[in-house]
Amino acid sequence: MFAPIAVLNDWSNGINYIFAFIIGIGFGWVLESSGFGNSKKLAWQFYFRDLTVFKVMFTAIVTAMTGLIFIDAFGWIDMSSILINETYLWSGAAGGLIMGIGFAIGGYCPGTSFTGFATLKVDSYFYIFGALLGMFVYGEVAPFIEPFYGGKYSGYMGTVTLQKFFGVSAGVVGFVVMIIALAGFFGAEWIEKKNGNIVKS
Amino acid sequence: MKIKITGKLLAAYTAMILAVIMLFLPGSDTRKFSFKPEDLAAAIASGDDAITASTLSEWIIQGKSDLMIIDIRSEEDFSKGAIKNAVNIPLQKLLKKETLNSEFNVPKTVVLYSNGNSHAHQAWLVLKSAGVDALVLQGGYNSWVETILNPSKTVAMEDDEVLKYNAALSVAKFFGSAGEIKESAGSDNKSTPANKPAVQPKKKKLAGCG
Amino acid sequence: MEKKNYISPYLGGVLLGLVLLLSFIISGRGLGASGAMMKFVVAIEKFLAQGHVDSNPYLAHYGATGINPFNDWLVFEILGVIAGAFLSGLIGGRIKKETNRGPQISDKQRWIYAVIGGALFGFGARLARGCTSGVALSGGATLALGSWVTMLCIFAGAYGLAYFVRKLWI
Repeated sequence: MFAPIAVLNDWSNGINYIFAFIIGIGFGWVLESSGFGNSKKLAWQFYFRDLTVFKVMFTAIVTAMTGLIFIDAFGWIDMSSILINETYLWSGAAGGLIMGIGFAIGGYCPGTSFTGFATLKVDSYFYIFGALLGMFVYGEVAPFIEPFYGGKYSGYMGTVTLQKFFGVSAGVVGFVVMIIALAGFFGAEWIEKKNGNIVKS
Repeated sequence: MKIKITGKLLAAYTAMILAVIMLFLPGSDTRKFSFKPEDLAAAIASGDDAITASTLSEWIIQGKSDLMIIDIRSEEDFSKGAIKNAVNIPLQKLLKKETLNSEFNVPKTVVLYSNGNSHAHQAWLVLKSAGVDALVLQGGYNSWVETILNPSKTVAMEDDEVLKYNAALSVAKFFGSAGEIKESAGSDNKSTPANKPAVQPKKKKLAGCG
Repeated sequence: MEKKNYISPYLGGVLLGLVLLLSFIISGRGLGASGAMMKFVVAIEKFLAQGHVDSNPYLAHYGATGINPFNDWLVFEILGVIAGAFLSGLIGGRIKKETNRGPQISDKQRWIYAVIGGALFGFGARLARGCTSGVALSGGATLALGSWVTMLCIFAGAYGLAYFVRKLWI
């Protein structure tokens, strides 16, 4: 069991941050190479003209998910040391819907907006400014909506994974997710062929 | 006959093979052990960390579905007498990671007891930190014996107290006790009705590790 | 440099998945983005009004007196994202000052909508404790229940509104 390396070897902040930077380079590189710096390309997902976002996201999720399941099965990773997002059903759902609306209007999400920023996309500058503004507003509102954010009405369920929720092993969920993703990819190919207008560069 | 295999199709087949393999892979537990002192202190202060013997007996009689009673004493003590439906997981074994990972995957209400209080409270801390909904039986097995198995009777009781006593007796029988009748020490026999049963000599109090 | 096409989405997805997996293996956590933005907001607020940050429990968590909001994994990761995207753009000849938008609106209009969309997204990201990177990618890969719910809601919200804002893009 060697992973997660930073946790098992008790790395200091300095080393952790160096690797954070390196991992970030990989992240940004792939995002830009896939065209995620271009807000029009991103927004065209929602008009079924360019389904790159769907393909990249789900391929990435499935790849990482499969990787985790396999190295866990090999006993190489300590899954209890992995940061798994906690579940806040209602605030998470509401936040998701608002994010979706913001995505359709703004054409970016934070990660891709930094990608655009790095390649001089002017609209990304405005998006980032807007996002900072929105977060500032949230900070001001936060104490008043605390019961919904993290209190009684948040739908807090602790750290619960899909497999724990359905009472199966992670591999079973992985299998289902993979099948759904593959079906989705075939569907996406078909749609793009019909609507055909991918932003190539 | 040439079969055309594109890169994408190859990738799709690889993915499907991986998916089928995944189906049979075992997963390990992702349970985190988190120690949140504020939450634990709050539970202790509000008394939410423990239940009384009478509450437990109600739960058992009502057949509370997610109830899991754990006797954390040694196997020897357990064999001499235990609470109905209790499972014997001696403290050492309970605190092992394998037990914690295997016994508590389905949400349960866990009631811990030892002879007295302190070991059960220690186990409570560990289980709570592991995210298990645990409670301590106040007073432990000793309290159980005293209040449930051997309900006390005073010589001159009011009618409702007689009813209560008879109810307690049937509860005691339910839990396998002969329900010995004890005289309450120090009650006024005729002039004033006894208001509450006084402390009774214990039937089977085992030397307390606590 | 001559402008090159983007790479195949499936290749990009696999590469991204490997970066994500590497992140888990090395640091025990997945990728993220909006958190770094929040740290930046708090840093500015700290500079202008430390007292305000201290008195607001939500903000204090990120930047109360004595807490440096930039002392954080995400901040360094985002710096890497900018660097990596720049390098990739440089090699692909795609560094160009431009505004991407649909043909029916002007650049300036696009900028206004970018601010509005960004503000909504920023607000929602805080409410949901993450954005598409942290929630959908990382939470998705770890199969966290709440993350999948949030991810589905993001897509639902976006697809749901898309028709009504189509003038912006097509």
